[in-house]
Amino acid sequence: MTDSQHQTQKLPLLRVEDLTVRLRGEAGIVHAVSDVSFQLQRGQTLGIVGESGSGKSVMARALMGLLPRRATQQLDGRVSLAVDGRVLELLKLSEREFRTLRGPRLAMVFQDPMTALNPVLTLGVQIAEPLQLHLGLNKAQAMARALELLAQVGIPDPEGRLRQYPHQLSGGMRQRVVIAIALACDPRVLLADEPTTALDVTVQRQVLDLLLALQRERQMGMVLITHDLGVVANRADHIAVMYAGRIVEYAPTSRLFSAMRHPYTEALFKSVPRLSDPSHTRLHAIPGRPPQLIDPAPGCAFAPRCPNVQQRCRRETPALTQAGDEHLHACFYPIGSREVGA
Amino acid sequence: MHLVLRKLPWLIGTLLAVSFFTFLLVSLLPGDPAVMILGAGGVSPEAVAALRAELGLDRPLLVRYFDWLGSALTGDFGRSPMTGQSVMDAILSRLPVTIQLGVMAIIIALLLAVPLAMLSAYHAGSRLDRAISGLGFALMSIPSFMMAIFLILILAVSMNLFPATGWVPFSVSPAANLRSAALPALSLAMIELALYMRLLRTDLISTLQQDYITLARAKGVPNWQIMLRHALRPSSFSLMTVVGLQLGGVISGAIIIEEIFALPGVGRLLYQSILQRDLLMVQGIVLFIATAYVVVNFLVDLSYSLLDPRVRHAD
Ligand SMILES: Nc1ncnc2c1ncn2[C@@H]1O[C@H](COP(=O)(O)OP(=O)(O)O)[C@@H](O)[C@H]1O
Ligand code: SF4
Ligand SMILES: [Mg+2]
Repeated sequence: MTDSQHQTQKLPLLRVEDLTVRLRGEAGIVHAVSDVSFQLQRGQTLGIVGESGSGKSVMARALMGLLPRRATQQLDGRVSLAVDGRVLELLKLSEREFRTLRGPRLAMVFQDPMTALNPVLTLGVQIAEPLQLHLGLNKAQAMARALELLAQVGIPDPEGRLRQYPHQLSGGMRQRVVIAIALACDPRVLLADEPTTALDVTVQRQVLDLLLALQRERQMGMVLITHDLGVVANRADHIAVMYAGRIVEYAPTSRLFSAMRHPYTEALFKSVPRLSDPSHTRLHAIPGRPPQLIDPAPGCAFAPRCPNVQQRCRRETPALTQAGDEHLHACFYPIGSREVGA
Repeated sequence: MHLVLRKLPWLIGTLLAVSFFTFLLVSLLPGDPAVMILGAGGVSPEAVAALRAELGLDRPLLVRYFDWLGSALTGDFGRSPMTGQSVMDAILSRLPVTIQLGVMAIIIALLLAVPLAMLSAYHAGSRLDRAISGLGFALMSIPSFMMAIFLILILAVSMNLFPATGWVPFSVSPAANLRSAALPALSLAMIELALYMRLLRTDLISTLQQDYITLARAKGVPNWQIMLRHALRPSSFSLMTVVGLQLGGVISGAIIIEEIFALPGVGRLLYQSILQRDLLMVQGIVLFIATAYVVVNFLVDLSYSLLDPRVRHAD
């Protein structure tokens, strides 16, 4: 996105520029996130889609200031959050300053509700904790608020639940509690990292609809991370497709589906199960495996799996370029271009 | 309550087995108790036979076991043929010393181990962590009698902070009592400390990698509060087990320590009874210690349900 466009748009709630994260893994330095840029407006949902291992969770953790301290080899770029009429540069904050934002400004919903709640604390205590911490409520006030939150996320018999422990709830109910915790201090930005991946299919839709309803009602900015293009299809305003730690295509949702340009986006699209398909239709799994993020080879990371691949792709890394209004892609031979198949 | 009922048969079974083996152990020791009591040389076989009959040693093993168990259940472990003292009275009169020593040792060890382990785990891999772990290994490799001697030399002889030996009962002077118990308890605590620290550090490190810790951080909870409120309790199950086991274990540690510090405890009684070959006394003490051990374990088992709600609701 060019600078002139930034100026004509209103100040984004969250603006990420050239975010780069490298982690020390057992096998070497992992290039988990490379040059990721996007912005999020108040009340909007950005879908981030990519296969497992493409760096989505690391990106989300970087935005939350929750990267593993000792394993972080490099953390670069700019993350600007506009709150209270100020713009905060998140990556420049001290741990103490960042902590005061987690909860009331930024919140996160985790992938696996079975492991995200503390097994030895009651649900009431876990929901009340951020309220006491950030809003200065006393125990009784916080519990009363926790009760309201449980009701808002659609948990039946909330009074009884306050004193229960996580293991007494089903996965779907636990995820609702995780959502209640995230929403407790009324955050401006909600990062939902595969919030329904671990849930039963029948529960997935309910939880997604709940998230979306709460997002609209509170006018939060939401980043909805998923490996399933179907999840964000009619829920996100914009979609960013991530591959090997980079955004490879970005567009408004309807435009992405009507005019996708990146071969990887198309491959993802074909791998989405559709209800209209006969039940035994085989999915088009994307052939090959996602690349190692350790010592990435030069060139386009998708080259080994790409149907459009040409010589140039193996030498140069395609940059994210404009392909129309608000539409960007990183590909030398995108879908619909004349050179393909030449 | 369900939990207690479910575990009760196990408790009773274990106690029966323990008592039988204790009985067997002493009965199968080489040497005839009657001969030992009367002295080896120049005693007539008639005198030995008479004493054997008096002690009931001429009856079959199982009969003798149930006889012994029956009296033991009523708290009667017999009388020491050497001193004429009731075994039970002898144990009970010395028990408070040993219990005080053990409890003090465990409390001291926990008070030191928990913060050190939290510091170590929070800074896992750092120089501080390595220093703390090194200290633990050093403490563990020093035998308790050496530790006792070190402590006596430094804290009693050089600095004159505590008495080197002797025991003042609590009823005489609480302050003097604590002072007289300090060094022996500290000697016992040092070894426990290393063990507790290592266990808790390992469990804390794996707990800190759990998603619920990340979620707590995502809530903006300060790090010290994460350690105390979110990480400590789920990490303390193995520590609790070992503390429970060690409640029994410190008694064996106390045998040497009580001897070094000349404390009138059960450990010293056992040590002296072994030296004097007072088998009945040894048998009584071993059964007593073993029973205490099993019962404490049972209680520790039950206490899990306080720590871990998943156990509480497992019915
Ligand atoms: N704590 C960590 N230390 C080292 N490497 C990590 C760590 N967490 C994730 N990674 C690596 O970063 C890459 C991106 O992972 P992740 O963000 O979890 O992918 P996604 O969420 O898209 O499935 C993977 O190669 C993963 O192995
Ligand atoms: S740059 Fe080349 S390899 Fe990469 S996606 Fe485009 S066509 Fe495929
Ligand atoms: Mg992930």
